[in-house]
Amino acid sequence: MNVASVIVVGVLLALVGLAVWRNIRKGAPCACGSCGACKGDCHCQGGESTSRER
Amino acid sequence: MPIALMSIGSRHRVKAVKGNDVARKRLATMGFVEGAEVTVIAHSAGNYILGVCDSRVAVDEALAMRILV
Amino acid sequence: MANIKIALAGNPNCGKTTLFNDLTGSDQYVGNWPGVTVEKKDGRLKGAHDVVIQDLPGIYSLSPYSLEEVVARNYLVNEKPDAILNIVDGSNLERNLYLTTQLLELGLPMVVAVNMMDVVKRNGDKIDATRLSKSLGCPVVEISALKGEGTREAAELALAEAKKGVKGERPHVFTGSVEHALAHIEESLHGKVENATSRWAAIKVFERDKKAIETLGVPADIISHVEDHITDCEKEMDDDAESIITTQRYNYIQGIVGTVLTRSSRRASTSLSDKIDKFVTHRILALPIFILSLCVMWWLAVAEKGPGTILTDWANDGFLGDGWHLPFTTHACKVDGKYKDMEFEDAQGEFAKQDASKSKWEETYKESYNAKNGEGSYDKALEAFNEKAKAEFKPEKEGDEFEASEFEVLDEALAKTVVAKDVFVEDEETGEPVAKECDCEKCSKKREAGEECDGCGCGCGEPDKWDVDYAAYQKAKEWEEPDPSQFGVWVPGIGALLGDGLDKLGVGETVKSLVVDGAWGGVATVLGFVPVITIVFLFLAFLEDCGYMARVAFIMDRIFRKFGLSGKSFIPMIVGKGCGVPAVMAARTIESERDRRMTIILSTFIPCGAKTVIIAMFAAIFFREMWYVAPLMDVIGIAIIVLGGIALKKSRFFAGEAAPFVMELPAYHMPTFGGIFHHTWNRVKGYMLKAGVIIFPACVFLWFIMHFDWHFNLLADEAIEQSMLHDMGSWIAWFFAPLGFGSWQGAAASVSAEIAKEQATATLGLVAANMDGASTAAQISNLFASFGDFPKLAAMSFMLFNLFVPPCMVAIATTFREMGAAKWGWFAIAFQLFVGYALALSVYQIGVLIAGGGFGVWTAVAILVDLWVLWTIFRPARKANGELKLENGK
Repeated sequence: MNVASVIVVGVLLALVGLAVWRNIRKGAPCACGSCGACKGDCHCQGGESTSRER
Repeated sequence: MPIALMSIGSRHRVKAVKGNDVARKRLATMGFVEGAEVTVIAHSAGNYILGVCDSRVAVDEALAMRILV
Repeated sequence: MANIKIALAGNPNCGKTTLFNDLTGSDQYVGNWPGVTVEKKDGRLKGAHDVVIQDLPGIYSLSPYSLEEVVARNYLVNEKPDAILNIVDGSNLERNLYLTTQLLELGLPMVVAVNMMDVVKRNGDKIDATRLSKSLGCPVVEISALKGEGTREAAELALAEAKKGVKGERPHVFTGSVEHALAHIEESLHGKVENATSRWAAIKVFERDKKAIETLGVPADIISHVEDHITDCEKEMDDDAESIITTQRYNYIQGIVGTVLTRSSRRASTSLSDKIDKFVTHRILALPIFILSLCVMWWLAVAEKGPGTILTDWANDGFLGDGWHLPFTTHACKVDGKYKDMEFEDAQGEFAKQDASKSKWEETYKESYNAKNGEGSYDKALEAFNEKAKAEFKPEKEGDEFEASEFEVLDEALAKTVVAKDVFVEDEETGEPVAKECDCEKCSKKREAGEECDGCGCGCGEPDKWDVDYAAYQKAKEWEEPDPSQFGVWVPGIGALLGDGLDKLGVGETVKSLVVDGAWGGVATVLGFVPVITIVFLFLAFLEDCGYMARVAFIMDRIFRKFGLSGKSFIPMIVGKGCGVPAVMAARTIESERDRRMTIILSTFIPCGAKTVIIAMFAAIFFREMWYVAPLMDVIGIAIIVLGGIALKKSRFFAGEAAPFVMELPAYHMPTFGGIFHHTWNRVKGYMLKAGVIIFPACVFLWFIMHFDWHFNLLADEAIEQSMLHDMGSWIAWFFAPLGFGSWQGAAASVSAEIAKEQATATLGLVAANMDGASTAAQISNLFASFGDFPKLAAMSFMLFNLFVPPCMVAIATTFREMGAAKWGWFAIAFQLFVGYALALSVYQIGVLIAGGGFGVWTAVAILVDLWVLWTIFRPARKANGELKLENGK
């Protein structure tokens, strides 16, 4: 592989790493699409992150 | 007479709500108390839309049978 | 200075959240039907960062009967905000003031904000705020949160009250012996509870509210001491304590409202909302109307000539792919050459003709050659020719490789005699020859008017066929495919730009494939559907904001009730159209544990946003002409929920009576553009973010395991069968075989869908890359064709499977958490897997049977499974204690 290829692959893997790191830090964005900040608890639609007191 | 048997568009005053469970308390909170004015807005195959306190509340048939007017 | 806390309290649907957003600049979604906000949201007041606005759940009262109420009142009693800002719906004063009277009893500084003044004014009613303020003993301000009027003042008033810290004169809500008893209780509580809260405490003791008594820490001896007083009251009023309190409250409120509210004389007997409801909740029309609205939504999104498809095609092939011409400009060729001054479409047409001439002539030549020299002689001769040419090959510059010819005129004399007859261009859609279009006046006029030419003697309308001789062939060879960038204004697509950019950098083919096919290709597949999901989300936002969705729960309650469920179980389904995670959480409002569990299991059957993408893709590739396939998926989802609910209810675990259904139906109102736009944009933004953060890494990963074998050797494109992905897919492909897509590709795509449902589309795009086809869509179509004789059935089966098995990992995790016990989580998964598999199996096997594919083992299995499912639905119901329910008994 030539230099350009190495750089491109490097950038790509860095982006992938960034995405994965963000997922771990913030929790995967739920598919409702309104947020990205939940850790599996979803803020969307008014259903919010909470521990249900039972 | 239960409000369930009343015709659409009629207005009544609540005499009582039968029973003593959570459902009745919820009805009371929503405005179904003794003396409250209630209108039958709609009724279709088992569910009722009742007008109370300037708003619309939907109840199922069993509950509507417990609201006596 | 310490933070000042202002609590927002009010009924559901009173506009509290709108006010909260307005005051804090925050971005929370507003639900128009009984919401599921159980947690308190807090934010900072804009411009005053030491002021915390605490949004409490929407509640009708401070009773202990629902989680929202308990959460709200615990907060108010224990954490004591510095002030309460009570939002009251001005168009619904009586009910809203019920909570107000209770809040006032807490003894905290309070301001009442009468919201929806715009609606009040429109109805022609008037509210005397000053009088109301006097009666309640606290400041009252009129606001319209939607329009942002008065909101600032309300907040400042609350702040002022907080700073003052002094409570105004408390209204005299209770009378007679009740007041007497309450006063007595208050006295007894003196010193045992805080002064400010003593009235509220007294009332709670009177009502025998165990939870409140516990929270307040009222000593037991006081309770028993006052019990007699309470019982005396009950006897006197012939009612139970709680009921007495409630009734007296409403009596008081009616009194106030009478003096404070002036109703418009021109109030219609039935409002517009009621008129609409007559149709929408009509016993027969209701469900069809709902399904119709879904059909409208889907038609817009995926119908062949609809806006969704047009935009998505542009996005997939044009914007994200190769490129596109600016619309409404001419696309005439600017370059000297055969196509000069021709419009792009005409150029394509001309090339198609020349290309057809070339191909057909070459075919005919081959036949003639073989006829003359023997079967298969042409291929042998061509091979010999190529070998000779290879041996003599001299590279002109570095990197030049020998390319074998695919066709050569090996016998010149023969060539001159060959004439290809009846050459035509095949119409892409119909497969029939393209019709002739002549240029005579009559025909041109007809064509412009969009009518078909009916053969005016010039032959147009008839299939365009012609003969090609050697001379014509040689001319035809000279025509090259028109380059779109030479025509008009051509905007290269991102995919093309990316490819060109990498070429310029001198990146190798493999890396280019990784970036363009793997990373970008996968993400682009998912992003290409943004137009479709935008339309869907837009439509849903409109339905939610205008208030229709509340009616849907009401309509479904009717159906559900017959089978022991309540409409409350359906509300999560509505939420689920966006995403399954909040849908599962929305089941919290259901009190019965059994019903709640069942609702959780069922709520992910309604296609969510991500599943919508799968529907969109398959609709576009396989069911273009049948746009009704898309809404059919929604209908199937609802059917599964209803039938699944029935079947589950008949089993021991879930049997029981339906919970009572009480729900407020807010008035219909026209949603604001800003509101809808905002909600939709939020969701679309999140979708795109997800594409970048989940789909992107997944596709890169998939590319790797698709192009490397187990020893980490890089594989050539054709050697894909040695890749890790191929092997992994093959290990589980047997599972999908009875469903019609039992290949490593089908398996890989289905499994990858558990990361995110839309990943299935991206994975399909990746694994189909080896197939023939000019576009990803064509490749996927060919992929399914390779699965067997019934590609459309296989496609339908694939879609059904992925739509109706357990949801994506995040939703599954949520399911487990909400269920509490792991065994219920596993039950949910088992149930969902069974449903999805059985459905896909039945459709495929029985479909194959009907299509003439024969009866096999799996056909029998499918039928047996279906019969068993029917039995679970139609068998006699059981009562909660396990006894059989009789037909007429309950």
